[in-house]
Amino acid sequence: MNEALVVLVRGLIGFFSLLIFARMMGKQQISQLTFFDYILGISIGSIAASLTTDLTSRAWPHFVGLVTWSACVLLLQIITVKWRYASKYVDGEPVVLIMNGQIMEQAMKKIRYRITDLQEQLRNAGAFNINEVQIAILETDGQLSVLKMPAYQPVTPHDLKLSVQPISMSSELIYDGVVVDHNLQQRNLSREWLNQQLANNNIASPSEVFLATVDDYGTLFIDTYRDHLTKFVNISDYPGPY
Amino acid sequence: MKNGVIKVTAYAIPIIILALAIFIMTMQPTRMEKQQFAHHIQGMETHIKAEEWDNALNELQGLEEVFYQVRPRIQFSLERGEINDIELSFARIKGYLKAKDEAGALVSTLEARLHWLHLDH
Repeated sequence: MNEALVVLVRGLIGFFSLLIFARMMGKQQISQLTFFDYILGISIGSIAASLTTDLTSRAWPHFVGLVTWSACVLLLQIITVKWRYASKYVDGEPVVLIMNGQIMEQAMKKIRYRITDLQEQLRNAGAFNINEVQIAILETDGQLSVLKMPAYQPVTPHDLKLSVQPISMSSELIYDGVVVDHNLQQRNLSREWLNQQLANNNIASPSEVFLATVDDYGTLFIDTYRDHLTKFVNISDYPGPY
Repeated sequence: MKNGVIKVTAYAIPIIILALAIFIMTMQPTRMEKQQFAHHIQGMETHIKAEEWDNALNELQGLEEVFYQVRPRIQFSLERGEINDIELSFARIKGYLKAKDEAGALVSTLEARLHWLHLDH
């Protein structure tokens, strides 16, 4: 038995199976992880790792385990989407820890949350003084959402009664030297227009451009591979091997 | 039409990958290989009981050929121990046959047969 070859093949099977199942389970696995989701991710990854390297057992049972866990996650997602009660039962709900500047001690006691934990999370959210906080909510993924008192929030154009242009999303026109024709068409722009814009910036060809984007107002952002920096700040604080 | 083809391809690729993975992990000896193995092992038992040691060794060689033909395919689905067990039992049988030990050879033959049966998923 060529163990290296077997590990290679089983590794490829585990890798692509995990990729497919993770894709099926959706983005919420990455961005909105509750503690349970986090544990699930670790467990599923562990099964895939065993499938790859554990030659003392057959590959098929590990694969069945992987499918089972992934199917359970998918099923739970479907159930919690369709049934609100189940969603609350499985994921819990956000807890208000500070309301109108007052700490909700009973809520903190219920979820076994210490004041030091609260202060740490407040600092992470940029609130170093608890007086500044109007509302703080502990989300189901463990993140603390903080709303500061109006007096401590940054000033916005709305506060100053200024009218501003709406923010627009930009689209990539060139990425890694390759023109994204699909986005050009969406923006009703042509290659000729693009080439003209590049020529205006002394760029001979799209292949010289790392990234070029355009927004709704026609404002172009161009970054070439060649950087024309006159002053480069070295942020390294200590000479190392590299 | 083009979007339809892209969509079908997008769904087909993961299905094909999973199907291939399942196929690799559930590979077994073919029916012909199973029959060949059974034929050789039966022949070997007969020769052992008749104390025809050279003929028994020839049957053992046939057994090994069948197994080493199968092994490259099924090694991805099996435990390392299962493959080692079969090879070990072949080595035992060879030893007993060379020592002309009927009882030991028969026991090892049964062991080899059992290990082979365990290859079935």
